[in-house]
Amino acid sequence: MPESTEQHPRELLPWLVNGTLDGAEHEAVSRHVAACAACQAEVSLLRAMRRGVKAVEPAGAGELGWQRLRRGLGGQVRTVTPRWVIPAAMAASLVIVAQAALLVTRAPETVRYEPLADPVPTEVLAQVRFTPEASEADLRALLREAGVRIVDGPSAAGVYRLAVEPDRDPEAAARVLRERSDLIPHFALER
Amino acid sequence: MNGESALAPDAEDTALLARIATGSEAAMGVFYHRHEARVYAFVMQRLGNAADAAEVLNEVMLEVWRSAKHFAGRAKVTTWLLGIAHNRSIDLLRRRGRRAADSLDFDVVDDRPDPGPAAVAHAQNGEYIRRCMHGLPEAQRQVVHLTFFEDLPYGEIAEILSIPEGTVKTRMFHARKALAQCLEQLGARP
Ligand SMILES: [Zn+2]
Repeated sequence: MPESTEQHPRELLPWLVNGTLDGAEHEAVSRHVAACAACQAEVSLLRAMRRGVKAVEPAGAGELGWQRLRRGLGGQVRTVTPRWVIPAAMAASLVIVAQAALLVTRAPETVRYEPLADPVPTEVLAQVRFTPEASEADLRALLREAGVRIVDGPSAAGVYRLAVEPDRDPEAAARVLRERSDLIPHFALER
Repeated sequence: MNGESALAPDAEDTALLARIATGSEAAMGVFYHRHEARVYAFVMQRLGNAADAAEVLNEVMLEVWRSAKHFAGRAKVTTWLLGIAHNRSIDLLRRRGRRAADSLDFDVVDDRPDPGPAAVAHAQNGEYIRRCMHGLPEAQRQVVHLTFFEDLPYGEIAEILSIPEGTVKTRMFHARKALAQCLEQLGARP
């Protein structure tokens, strides 16, 4: 017994907890844990962590991602397509805002990623998703109030990147945007 | 090898890949919808932003489309798929000139006290875990994700990330230490 408690199989406990240790290892580790209070506490912590990790809802690119992929499956050479495929809910005015911004281009067939023409501007603030119900007027007003503009997007997942105008305060902008979770249900600061 | 004993759990995926190899868009659609959330969630651990994750997801699925006929069946389909996803993530980080190097893997020095009950209580809170996961080095976050979200054995994780099994264990151990500390601190704050 003393030997088993001196050598805690701690580095294997995460895989005891997720149930994937193979026969011999599983047996040895289980036997130790049954007799070791320290490892039992560790197992409780790891179980809780596992529950927490599983509770984080995975997002995905969903149907839009499939549509995008499908366009690339044909293999025919396409002309370089600008990324500004603004969904119907986002109207022309936003395109105008966007035009001054950087263009990320891709050729679906070769899946070539072309780096941004300029390096990503340092003032890129956040990534957001707009609610589909938002009107273009609402969004335009909000972006103007916050002093931000769209510099990238939408991604397949419908995410846009926003940059702060040079003369505006990023923290204030973030505050303004965060307050409108009715229009922006998803808001994430970029590092 | 007696592969006859039971259908492998990923037999359905293998069958889909066989159809994808013949150019079936319908099979590709089924495969995409089965796995896109999994691939997306995994690459987010390394890339940290939704736009890049969607980009890599698209590249991964295109690679599945093109190389389904080369799937050798030596690995599970998900292991193969997540291995592609990992490589594509690293490629994107390199193209961006962002740091793609793995975090340094130190030997484990187990010198911190055991976690208090607060860490255990807070660990089950998805929001706390999300915040604490965010603070981990990307390479550790990947291992935690594959261990606790995907419930994969350490051998498969090593295969996906192309690292030794010992490194998988080491990263997990560091991550668990950091998470426990973070969770305790989160709980201590109002
Ligand atoms: Zn022990």
